[in-house]
Amino acid sequence: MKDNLIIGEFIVFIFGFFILSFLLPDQEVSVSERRHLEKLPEFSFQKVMDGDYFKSLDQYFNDQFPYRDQFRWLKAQAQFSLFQKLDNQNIFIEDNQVFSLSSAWNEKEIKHFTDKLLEIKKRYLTSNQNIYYSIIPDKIAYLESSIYPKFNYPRLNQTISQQLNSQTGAGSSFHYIDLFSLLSLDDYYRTDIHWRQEKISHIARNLVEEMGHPYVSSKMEEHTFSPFYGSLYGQSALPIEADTLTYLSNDVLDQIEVWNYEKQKKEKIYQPQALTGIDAYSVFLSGPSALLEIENPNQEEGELIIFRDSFASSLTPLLIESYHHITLIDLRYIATDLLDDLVDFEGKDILFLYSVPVINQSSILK
Amino acid sequence: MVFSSITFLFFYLPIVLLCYYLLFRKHKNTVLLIASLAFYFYGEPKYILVLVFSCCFNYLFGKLIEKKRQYATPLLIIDLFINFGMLFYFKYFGFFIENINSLLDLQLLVPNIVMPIGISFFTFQATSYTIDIYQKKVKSAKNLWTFATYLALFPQLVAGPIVRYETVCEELENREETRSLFAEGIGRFTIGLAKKVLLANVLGELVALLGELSTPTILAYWIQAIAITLQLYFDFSGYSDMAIGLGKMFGFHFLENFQYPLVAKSITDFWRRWHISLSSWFKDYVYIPLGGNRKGLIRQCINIFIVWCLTGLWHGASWNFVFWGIYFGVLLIIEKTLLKKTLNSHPILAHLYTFILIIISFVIFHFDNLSQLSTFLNGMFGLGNLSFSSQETIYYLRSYAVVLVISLIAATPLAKQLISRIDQYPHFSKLKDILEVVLYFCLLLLSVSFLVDESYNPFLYFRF
Repeated sequence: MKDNLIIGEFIVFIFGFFILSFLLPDQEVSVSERRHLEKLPEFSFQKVMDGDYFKSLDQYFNDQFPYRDQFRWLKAQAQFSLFQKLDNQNIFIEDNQVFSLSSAWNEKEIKHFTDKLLEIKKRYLTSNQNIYYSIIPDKIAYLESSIYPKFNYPRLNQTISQQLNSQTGAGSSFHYIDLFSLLSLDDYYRTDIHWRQEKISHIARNLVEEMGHPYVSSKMEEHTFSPFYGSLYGQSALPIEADTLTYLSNDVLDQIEVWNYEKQKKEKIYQPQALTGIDAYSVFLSGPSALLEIENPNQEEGELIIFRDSFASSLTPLLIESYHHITLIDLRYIATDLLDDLVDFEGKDILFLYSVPVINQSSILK
Repeated sequence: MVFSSITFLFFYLPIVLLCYYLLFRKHKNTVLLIASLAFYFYGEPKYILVLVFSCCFNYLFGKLIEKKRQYATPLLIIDLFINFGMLFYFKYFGFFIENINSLLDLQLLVPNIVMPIGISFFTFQATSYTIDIYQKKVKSAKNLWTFATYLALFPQLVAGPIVRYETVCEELENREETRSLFAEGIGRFTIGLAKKVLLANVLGELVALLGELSTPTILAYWIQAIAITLQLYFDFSGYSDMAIGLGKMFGFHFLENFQYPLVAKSITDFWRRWHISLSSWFKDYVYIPLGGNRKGLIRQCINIFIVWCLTGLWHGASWNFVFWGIYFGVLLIIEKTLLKKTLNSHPILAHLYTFILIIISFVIFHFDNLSQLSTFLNGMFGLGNLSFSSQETIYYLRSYAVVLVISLIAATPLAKQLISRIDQYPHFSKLKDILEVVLYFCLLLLSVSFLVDESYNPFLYFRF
């Protein structure tokens, strides 16, 4: 009896999923993981002999496994409930919020970050230009629980400041604008790493004023989208209440056009069609973009260049009313060497605005 | 292909089982041979010819040694020379050139040779076959297909255990697949899969995370060292369990490869319990032919030293493996000459002594970079101005505490002893059976969920 049951459950299990794999249609996208799933690899003799074909086949079988999301949920439950782990692949839930553990301090990457800033200054900036930098903490910094190891922000500030200004020489120095004390956990999405645009007007004001510029902001209208499942939601593989994504607009912002160098076309500041795509956060300035030029015809003065990561996408619409022109450069997608031909740096204020995860993994900056 | 993969579990295995059990007896070995070659080809397409060559060559030499007794010795020497020559070329040639360069200050080009998966295992199996024929312990295989089925048999092909021909020759010709053996095989396979996926892989994550700590601490070094030891044990013994289980599903009985080595009372005892098929290979084909313990204590010590240098080197072309082997060689000699009585009279102390020395041994095993190894060992013993602990260390200790405790318990025969106690009460047998069925299902389900969302799944012993 026992033997029959053991054989029965095993055979049903492996043959059941074997048959289901052929019966169920392949999925294009994993909505929860926000990524495209592997398709059946194209057969070629060369790929077979290199072993690449079988590697892709393994990935394909994994990605297209029936009830994949349910199995991911089961794994997350087992990690937290059975093994009592405090995180599942660096993701954990605390107070109905999803967090990602801070990455470990990486001296080499931080040095690479400051070297990159110094390289840009040396190559493209003149001695009388205003250069500012600011660091966006990841949201775990504001978590009250002391269980989870957090990034050492005072040490990071001190290290970056020392490395930047020890080599500045006679030229203009880098001015630090503190954001750490102005943010709180409430300013971030619960299911995503990013800050919420409707909560960071004070950040925009502070940055503009610290850069010695008058802050201009007309009345904004709130547009909301729900449910918004951020990137951490999918990684957690656990059910958690969705966020509401809000973007702020007004007549001035609606008129402004953004020149996207990659796409070689003009776009609007907001892309509402992205709200129903894989990454709803791409509603802000079309998501990941190498180089954007934003011109505000209603403002005659002020030109700013921001070296940035994705956090600036939702912040920049709040800055643009104060400036005539803002250039956004994302060095994750464009090499520093190419900027010579594409960007005019002369006379413009420069802001380096980066989040801690990018600083601590700055080799992705080209 | 690895056993702990979706491809193996839900595509390869169902197809092979279906073909195997639908065909008549006389075709079963053909199914196994084709399935085994396909299994190898999937993971190592280019080197399938090396395996095929090894099958043909050793079969031929087995026959020649048996038929031409007057030339048996030179034939065996040629066979061993070719087998170990291939192993040397693929596994050690680059390492050899590197060392020649640094020793003689030369600039010889170091060849970048990719090692065929499992070459150490199938070379040792093939040589045990020809040596056993030479020593008239076994008769040669009936035909090439039978021998190739033995050498390439997918359950033990790429990561052992090293199955001797003499232990399976009868089953290769005539075996009985029974329902109870099949069920036993499923149970053993499932436990091995769970050991690998739920314990070894998770411990591997802990090892990696602790290796990246911004501020290493003494406690972190010790947790990492324990995690390395447990990871290696569950990785390799899990693979052996899966191999033995798969063997049973196809009617084979492979010998045990592990017997709870982490509860050993001495290093001598440890090596009777860890990777038994390898240590018995070295004992039978190196240690005893060298004279074993028959030629006095000094000669015995020299023999032990030689065997353990070779055992270390077998694990990889790197100095840390050589040191690892020497480390055990020295410990075994010390135990034989000095510690035997003390260890026998102080069992608790003996367990503690053995466990700590095993942990240190696997740290040596883990780091092929000698400078990292030295930093790690210094860190473990508090050399280098380290704090004892930190918030990060405590976090990972708390996060992995349950996995570590489960792993430590699972590394002991506690569960086995509990089951044999329950077996003494017949009225519990039904409940035990139901629990066993449920346990296998839960372990299978959980293992698959971890595989679907896998981020870390290497087989550590594949590189050997």
